Amino acid sequence: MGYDALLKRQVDAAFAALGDLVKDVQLLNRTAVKFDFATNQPDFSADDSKTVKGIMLEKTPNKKSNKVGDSLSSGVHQELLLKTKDIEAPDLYDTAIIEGITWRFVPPYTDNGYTTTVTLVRGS
Amino acid sequence: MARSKYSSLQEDINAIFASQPWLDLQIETHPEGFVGNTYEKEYVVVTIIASEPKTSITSVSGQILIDIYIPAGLGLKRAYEIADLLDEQMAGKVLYNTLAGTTQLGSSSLQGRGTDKDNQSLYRAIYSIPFTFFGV
Repeated sequence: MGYDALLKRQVDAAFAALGDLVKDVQLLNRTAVKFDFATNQPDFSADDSKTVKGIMLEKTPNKKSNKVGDSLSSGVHQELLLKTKDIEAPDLYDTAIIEGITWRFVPPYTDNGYTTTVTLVRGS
Repeated sequence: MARSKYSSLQEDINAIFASQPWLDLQIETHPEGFVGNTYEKEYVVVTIIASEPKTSITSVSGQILIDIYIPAGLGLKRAYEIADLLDEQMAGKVLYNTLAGTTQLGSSSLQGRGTDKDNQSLYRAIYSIPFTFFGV
């Protein structure tokens, strides 16, 4: 077995070993094909939905500030670790539903070829 | 009608890029704020900067900036061609797609800006053209 396959098996094993830390993540993939200037809206590809396994990592709470130029609340940012084979190309227009809560994807994403870390913000 | 001057301005500009003559050129065109998934070939991004208020509250003027992205390393010939195609659609035109007013476009200019900092495989030039929206 080559190192690539070995590492992929180790990722599978790690996700299996983490028990209830691993959550079901319903991914809804939408790709903006082009922008339609006549309707002033993006044209999206058909939604592609699938359920994968993910691990919630660091959560950044609401930022509260009264400085000029700062938002009063920038929303909760949640990092999510996924197997790269489960999510080929994360996109700004994708959403994830985890334990009934809908999250939107926030670029950029990190992908080491085996695991992908995405940042999510609440809201559909 | 003053409250709709920005939407009307946008509608006038959008109509250019929704028109059949522009669509026939098959130049991928995005507004600022749109995230497409084909950034490895030529495309243009349209930004409307309505930054100069007028005495009339129904009017505004500013610049339309169009970022032209072309493959890097091939010179500027294609950027100039696209700028000429934009001029055909825009330079000196008066647009009136809504009842809220008319948009008058002026004379354009083009600036080369070097390779794109986010994607070194692309070269970026900026086509800009001044406008005034006259509200009624």
